[in-house]
Amino acid sequence: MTTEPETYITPEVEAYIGTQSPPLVSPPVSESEIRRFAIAAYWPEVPPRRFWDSEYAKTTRFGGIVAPDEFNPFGWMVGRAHIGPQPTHIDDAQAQLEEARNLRPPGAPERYLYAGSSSEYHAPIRPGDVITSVLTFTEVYERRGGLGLMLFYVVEERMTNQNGETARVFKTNNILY
Amino acid sequence: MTLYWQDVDEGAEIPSFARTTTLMNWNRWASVNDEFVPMHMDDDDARANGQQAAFGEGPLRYSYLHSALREWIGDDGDIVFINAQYRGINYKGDTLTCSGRVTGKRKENGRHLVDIDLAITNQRGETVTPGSATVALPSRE
Repeated sequence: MTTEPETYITPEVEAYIGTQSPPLVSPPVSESEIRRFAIAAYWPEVPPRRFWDSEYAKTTRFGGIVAPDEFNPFGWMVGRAHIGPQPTHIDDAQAQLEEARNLRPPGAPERYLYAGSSSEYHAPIRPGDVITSVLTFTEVYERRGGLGLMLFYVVEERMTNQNGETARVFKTNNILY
Repeated sequence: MTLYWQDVDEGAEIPSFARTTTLMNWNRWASVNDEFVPMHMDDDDARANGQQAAFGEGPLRYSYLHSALREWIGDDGDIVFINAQYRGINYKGDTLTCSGRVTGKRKENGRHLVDIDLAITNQRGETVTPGSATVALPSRE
């Protein structure tokens, strides 16, 4: 068993604040992805019509189908090895992108807890949109608790659409201990 | 039916939104997000990682809070901001109930906003996910 350090916030961790990931660019969002996401989110009840009925959606103020606010346009693509098991290694570019998007503070402990999240919503995501995600390591602090010394850090994900409009600013609060 | 800003009173409760969660919910969520984390699907893996059994994904709870808000505000309202903290674990068969109470109303940059305190409570009365949100509603003015 290793001895717990007095602090995890070393000069290297402080210098890591502001680190940005390379962009991850989604394939064009499809109506089917939106429909499937909405069904999963609302299961076992039927999701609101604006997420899956294009004729109905035309009658709304959106003028067509829009995705649920929290829709994830990055499922089933490369660059997400930190989320869960992914397909067999494709090439070095994939490996580098996945490593660069992991954004873990250097020298931090390995055990992880997902503490919380927040989202600001702007332009809705629609079929055909191509969404770009850039992650920024924005904040770090620590607390001592039942799990010993815990390092908290915040990663901000900014999603923009093909017109340069911000779709969402999503922040995750994470704990390493 | 449209929910207007003027029709919302401070202190009002939003309609509750509840789901009893099992692998039916979690696996669908995993499949649309490509989020096949073994602890969310396999009791043995979860136990090896110090949990009692497989447990539900935090982002699915986050999504339930969004759905609770959308069921209330309908097609004409927007979620502007939301946050949530993951405190408890969501085990198989838990019934998660989302609730919310209006804490304030304000106008900002031409938008008519409503602030809400949110919570997800399980069938044992434990608050597993406190949170808050701001929605924008159409105005009768």
